[in-house]
Amino acid sequence: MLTATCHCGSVRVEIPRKPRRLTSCNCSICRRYGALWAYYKASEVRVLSRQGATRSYAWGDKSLRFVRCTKCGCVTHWEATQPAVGSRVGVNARNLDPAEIANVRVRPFDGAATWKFLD
Amino acid sequence: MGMNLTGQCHCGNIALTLGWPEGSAGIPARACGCSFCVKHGGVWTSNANARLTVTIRDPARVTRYAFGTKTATFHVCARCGAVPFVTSEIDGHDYAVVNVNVLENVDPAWLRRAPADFEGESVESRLARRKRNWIADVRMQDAGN
Repeated sequence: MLTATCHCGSVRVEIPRKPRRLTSCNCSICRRYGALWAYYKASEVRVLSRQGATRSYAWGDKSLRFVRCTKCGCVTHWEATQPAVGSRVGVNARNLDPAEIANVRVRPFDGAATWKFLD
Repeated sequence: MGMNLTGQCHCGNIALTLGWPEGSAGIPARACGCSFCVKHGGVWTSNANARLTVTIRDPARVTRYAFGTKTATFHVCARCGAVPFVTSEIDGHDYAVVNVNVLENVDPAWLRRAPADFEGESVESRLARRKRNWIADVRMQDAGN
């Protein structure tokens, strides 16, 4: 198990295993967050935070919400606004120890235009 | 001024215009290696002769965060969570850097990407460096007024 932690430590996200690959998306929100996404089943991810320690942002069709720490602003993950069985969660791997992901392949995704991987 | 770079957070609460001086060789884009910037994927630019105008629609929806030496203030949109700029108040004057990731009219070919690591720097030399390199002309305006 690995833990991704925001800067101030108020929000921790536990994931079952090291990501096999990461996604760097250039869409309007992901590029601003500077996020690197690792995907897991929602049932495999545990978010540990006190009530009120997170805020979320949804836009467009609002099917996803991006969750971040209220205090330090670190984006910890995205999740379905209406979770269903099999829903996935995108965990921001920037909050992992950088050494843990140093050798993980990063795939550039063109979320801004073609919705395809660029590699 | 050579050109105006524009950017904003995702929801538009924090908008900025960066007047970039003529004759500069590209736009520096420093991927900072500090603990905060790594988590935010922060990539910063500045030019001592640039002019930054920040327009905030709802100032109550901007969170400020500082850590470590607490000499830099990160301005986080409390609505969408983007971090468009950082300020450092030195001798009563605000200096700033802008997050390249929120700029909207920059040709990627202009960016001079490089890692940056200021770990271990003394507070004194840190502030002196910011005075030299950060944007010295910073204007904040409230969109509501």
